[in-house]
Amino acid sequence: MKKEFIILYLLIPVPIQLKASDAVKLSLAADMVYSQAINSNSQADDKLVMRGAELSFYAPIDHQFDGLLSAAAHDEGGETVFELHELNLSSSKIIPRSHFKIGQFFLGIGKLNHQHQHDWSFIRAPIHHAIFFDQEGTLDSGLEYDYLLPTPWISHMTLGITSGHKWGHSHTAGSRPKIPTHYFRYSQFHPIGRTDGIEWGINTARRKDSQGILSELLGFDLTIKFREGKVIKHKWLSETWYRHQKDAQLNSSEQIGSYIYYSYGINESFSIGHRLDGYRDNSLINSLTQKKINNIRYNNTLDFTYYSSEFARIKSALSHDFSREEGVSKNRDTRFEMQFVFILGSHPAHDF
Amino acid sequence: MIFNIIKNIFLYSIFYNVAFAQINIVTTTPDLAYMARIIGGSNVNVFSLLEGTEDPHFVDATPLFIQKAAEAKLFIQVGLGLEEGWTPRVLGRSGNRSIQQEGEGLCTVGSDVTVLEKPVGKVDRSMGDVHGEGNPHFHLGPEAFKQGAHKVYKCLLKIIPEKSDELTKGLEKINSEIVKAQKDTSQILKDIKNKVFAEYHKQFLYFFHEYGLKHAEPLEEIPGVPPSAGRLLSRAMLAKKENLYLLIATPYHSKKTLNKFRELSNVRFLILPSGIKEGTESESFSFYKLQTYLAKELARE
Repeated sequence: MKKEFIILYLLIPVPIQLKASDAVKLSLAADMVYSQAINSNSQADDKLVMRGAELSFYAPIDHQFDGLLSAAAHDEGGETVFELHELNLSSSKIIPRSHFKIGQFFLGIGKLNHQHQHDWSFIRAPIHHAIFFDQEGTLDSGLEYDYLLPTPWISHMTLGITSGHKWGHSHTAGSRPKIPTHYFRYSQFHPIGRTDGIEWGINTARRKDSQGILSELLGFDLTIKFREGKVIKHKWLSETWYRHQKDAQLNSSEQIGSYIYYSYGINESFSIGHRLDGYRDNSLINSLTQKKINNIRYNNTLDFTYYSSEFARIKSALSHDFSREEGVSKNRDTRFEMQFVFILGSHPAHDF
Repeated sequence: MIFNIIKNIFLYSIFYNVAFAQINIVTTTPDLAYMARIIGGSNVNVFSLLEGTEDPHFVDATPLFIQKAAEAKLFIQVGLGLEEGWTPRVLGRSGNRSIQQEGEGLCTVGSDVTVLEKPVGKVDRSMGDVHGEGNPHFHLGPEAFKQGAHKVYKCLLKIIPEKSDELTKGLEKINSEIVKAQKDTSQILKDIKNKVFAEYHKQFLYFFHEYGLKHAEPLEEIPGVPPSAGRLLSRAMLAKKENLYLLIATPYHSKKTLNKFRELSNVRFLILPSGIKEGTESESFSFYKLQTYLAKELARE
């Protein structure tokens, strides 16, 4: 913990000095989650957890580059861990129609992975996201380049290469991979009027770790939004990911997961939403019979959100998670959750 | 197939460069687009990101906006905190160097307007959606609109100085439209100067102020926050005391709230456009049309 305190000590004077010039955008996002078990098998904590407090600083460094630093304190198994999330320099002023960043960041693939957890439309990660990208998302250090293609339709291309020493959320330095992480995203946006539209993206990521395990991911994401005045009246989010892994002995495994989320804005203050997600491991083998196990895992979550303003919201959710193998239910977890999110400081960006 | 895609991209690039004979201008609101079109005339190709039916505070930075910004020579925004939730993301993602902060292609009109209600002292979020630099809905006040148009003229002059004569003629044209609108609107409003108006959100403040109309406090107690049931009741009681004539709202305000207020206060409400709308079919597609339409609606018994 000593190291974390030193980092905090070093960070805190920075905004105080720079705030005077209004040059630095500073924000703090707090995310608290209470979960209550409803059935006896539930893994819910029955307590309010300070899930994350993320401090972000963003400012132009000079006439060409911008800088971002975000660090977060997380509750991990009851212990508060302070860690660097993002530290990168970026620019949209050097190469036309382009934006690039160098440093540490959440990989720009899919929809959820490059959004901060407190900005998600739901409290907990979908099953496949937690398995493929970790609970919060995959971050790494490297280079990411985003290009707005000069096509008659609206399309973006994102290319990234990162060290690949680690994957997901890790507190270790990791070890040198045989092939670093590299990824690609292509997305298109189809406007409906000026502020509404449909965005879809195809994604791929690949890495071979130090043990020689090759991981390949292929994903599709979809976002549809319709606004009426201040209210996002209808919102659909969906992602489907497929993962294929092959180890040094050429044993391979594959998994697939997907979610679909819909939310309806009742008015400026309230919305309701429903998420359905499923996950399947196509390579689960029965150790006795050596036959594939027919398995599936589902989650069904209904949520209700109160927005006090753009800067504070309270979300409540009733969630039922269950898994089944060969037609036999294995786990059932029904829980009630409440999430409290607030943002201090700079205005949050309204991303599509 | 790949060859065809590459060929289409190439042809599009050629077409795109030819189209650039006109200066590409992107504005956040249709009011700014109107200024740019009149002043710039045939030298400009203007696209407004909003159509005039949206709440400019609450908009997402869509990829459409980013694409339009990437292709703009001049990006015109209101400023004063109106678009702070989405324009920084649009500009940052556009990869267009000239429209970044301090770039000569970024034009913030609000900085040249004499703003109303600039807060004195500390501003924090307990006060709601208060803009630290003053009320950004200046486009409904003729004098403020004129100041805004002059800023647009200055920005255009920086980009196409060789067209200064045409731009000056464009500025004169919009100024004479503003003067005519002022005169005719004042004439329409002359018989209702003793009536008391209120608004849902302070979007018509410059209009009230410049035409000398009496106005009471808005329906919102805290800017940007929907009025509570308690607020509706207290505001309705006050409306009777101050002899409130009319409550003005815009299409994106809650009709349920407005109906409730009418029930409680017996004061009627009127839904009016909050600015110039895109499209010549609209009742408010020009500054003159908008001003006189607002005045006629207010004066209508």
